[in-house]
Amino acid sequence: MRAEVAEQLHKFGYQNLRPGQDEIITAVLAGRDVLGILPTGSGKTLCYQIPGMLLPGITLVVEPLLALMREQVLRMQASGAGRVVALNSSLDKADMRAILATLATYKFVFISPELLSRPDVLSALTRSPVSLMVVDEAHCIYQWGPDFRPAYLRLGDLRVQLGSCRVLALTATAPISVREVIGRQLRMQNAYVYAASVDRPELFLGVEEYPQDGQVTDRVGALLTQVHGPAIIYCRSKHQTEELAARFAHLAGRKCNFYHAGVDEHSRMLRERQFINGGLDTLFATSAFGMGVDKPDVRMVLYLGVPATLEDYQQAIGRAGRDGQPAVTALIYSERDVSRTAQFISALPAPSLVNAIYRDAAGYANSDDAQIQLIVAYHQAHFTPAAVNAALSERLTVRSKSFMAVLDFLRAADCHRAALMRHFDSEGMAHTDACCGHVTDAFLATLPEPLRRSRRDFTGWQVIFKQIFNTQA
Amino acid sequence: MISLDDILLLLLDDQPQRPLGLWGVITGRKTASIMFAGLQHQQLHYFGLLAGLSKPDYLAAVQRLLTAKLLQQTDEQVWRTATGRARCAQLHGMAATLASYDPELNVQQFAPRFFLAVQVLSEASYQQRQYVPLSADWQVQQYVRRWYHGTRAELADTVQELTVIFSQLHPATADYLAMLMIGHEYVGSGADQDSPLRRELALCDLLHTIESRPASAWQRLWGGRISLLPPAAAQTSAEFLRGASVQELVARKHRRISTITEHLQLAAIMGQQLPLDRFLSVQQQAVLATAWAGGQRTYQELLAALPGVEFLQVRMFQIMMYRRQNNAR
Ligand SMILES: [Zn+2]
Repeated sequence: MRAEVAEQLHKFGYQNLRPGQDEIITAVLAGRDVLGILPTGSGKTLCYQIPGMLLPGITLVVEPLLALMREQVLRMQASGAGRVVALNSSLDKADMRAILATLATYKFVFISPELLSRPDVLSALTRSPVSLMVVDEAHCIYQWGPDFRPAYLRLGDLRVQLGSCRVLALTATAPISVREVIGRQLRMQNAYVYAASVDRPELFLGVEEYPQDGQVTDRVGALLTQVHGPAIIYCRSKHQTEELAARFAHLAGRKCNFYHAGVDEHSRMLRERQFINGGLDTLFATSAFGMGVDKPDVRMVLYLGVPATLEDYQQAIGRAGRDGQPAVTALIYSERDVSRTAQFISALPAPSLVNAIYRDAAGYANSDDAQIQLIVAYHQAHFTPAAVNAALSERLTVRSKSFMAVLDFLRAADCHRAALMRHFDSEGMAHTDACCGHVTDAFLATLPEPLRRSRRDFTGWQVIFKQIFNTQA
Repeated sequence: MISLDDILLLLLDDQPQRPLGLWGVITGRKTASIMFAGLQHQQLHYFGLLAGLSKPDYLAAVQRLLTAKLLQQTDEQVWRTATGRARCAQLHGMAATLASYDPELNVQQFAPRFFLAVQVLSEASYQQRQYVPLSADWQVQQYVRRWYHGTRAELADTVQELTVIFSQLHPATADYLAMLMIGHEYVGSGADQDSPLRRELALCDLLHTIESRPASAWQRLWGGRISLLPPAAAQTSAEFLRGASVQELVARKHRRISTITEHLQLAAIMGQQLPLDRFLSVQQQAVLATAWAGGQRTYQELLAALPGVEFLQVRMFQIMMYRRQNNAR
């Protein structure tokens, strides 16, 4: 490790680089284009945070989701990484102008791909030296992938307009075919590719099917009793998160709550931080939860129902066992769940919805429906409604292919892990008793006991003020 | 638990009104027609109270009240039944709680600033510089940063000031607000019956206390009351008061006549003293006053009493009358 890299690393409070980080940082600092495939939770932020501090000028980070952007900004601010700003649609005109006028004073600029192609933003960026362009969630560039964002297609052109600065593309999962698309679209030259294994050997990949929905719920209760330590239960719907949180509210030894996009912002923030500090240990959540939650000791992630893609599933279970200790994950579903998801993926937005969104794109801009978001993104990328309808129906084929991969995974006769690794073109560990299938008591017995941290409970505002403002006298 | 149905029943009127008028008021939609409905039905006090309430949720609640026969309906208008009025009388406790709300307190903007300010002071009390701020919002961060740098020299005083403010709150409100805070190695547990509305009302109580201590740093964080009148409308109304006619304003500001009349209505609804003589002659006012005294309240009825006048003239008369009526209460 180079001395200046080590110095930055210590400044951010770390001792060592994790596998992949060293290689990627070295290649970026050497001026190469880099594609890094790092599983969630393996520290991809540091891969651009350190070069960004060492290189002159701005590090521009393209992030597809507002929530991801906020999360990265908070994380950078917490680590003291100089001046950080996020350019996104939530800023009003005056603030945007103020920031653009002083853009060169920022070290890290986060931006949504749609905003990057706006003339005023682009011209502010061309006036300020950009030395590194980071494309986070780079798989969004893959047209036929589940997370496709039309604006990502323009990133290659924009990079040229920004003086062909070096580019670092990061993603958690990318099969070989997608890696090629990323390289081509971003016009990478002789790129250095680091592909870590997607496999997480410390995770048990449980897969359990039950005839009835009720049995799924019963199984959740049994596992919550048997396993100790923090647990996330991904539910099918907002409604289900609330229902299960109420049902297990009095489960001995568990402090439950629910989390979804319909919960107001302040409550979401409290619950997220309670979960991190141990005030809550069981969260029933939709996929809205987890983006920024870097909690190492999650011992169990349950996924209820059948995911539409293996990418969704991989991302959800990836939140378990980040401390490297054994953790259990389980996809628990009923026979009905298979047809539920099959129905969901075959549903196309009606042309009338496309038209409605085109008439009032701003009105739909904050919807949390993935299909609506995609149509809004097409609109921002200047597709015609006809082109959108055509693209959407072509996506049907792709979605059903993704869903077939999920079914292959669920029905794998030999090893679920092997099926998952095949899908991601990655190597995984060989099947053992601690690998996959029905969650066994024998595996659960190997889980480490959670640390019993003594947590002080504060009651009364005077007591709370003493803690908060350090006035113990 | 504060139930939505109870709140809506309290806020709706004994006089018929279109249900979406109230929805527009409580979600903070600043158009002349919404604000006029709010004035007419004494609902402006609750402007923006439930900013996040969706239209379907609102209409579903109204439907439940109709089914429970607490409201009745004809011609797309709803109003309280006798049972509904009796139920309201039982809800006087909640009515008192809701009364602490005041749209001019600007509580929605204050909330994230307040909690971030507490966090900033907390971390500073432990000499911590690296922590995850509870809001990633650029505006909120900038605002609190500026406030903090203006306050920094007297950290202990600022904390002491907040302690005094909290000691003046109802103890349950103070405890509740403390349970929503985030600070150094402290994450509030939230309350069992937490809701955005309960939070908003508790913060309004806090703001009333802050308002009574004008010299404090917390007053500066709050920034004082805001005017509900949009700046453009305030400007139009000021120029009108200096003598410009509607036509002159249209020409001078390059705005459509509908925009100018919208501005003038908003200004009148929010309490600007626009002389009625500028809109109606004394004789015309007398005709309308007679009709009004005879129970004719709607635009159509008043226009029938005084054919040939324009919408704005009648609307200004109605606004003045409703304001007078509300002031007399
Ligand atoms: Zn296996």
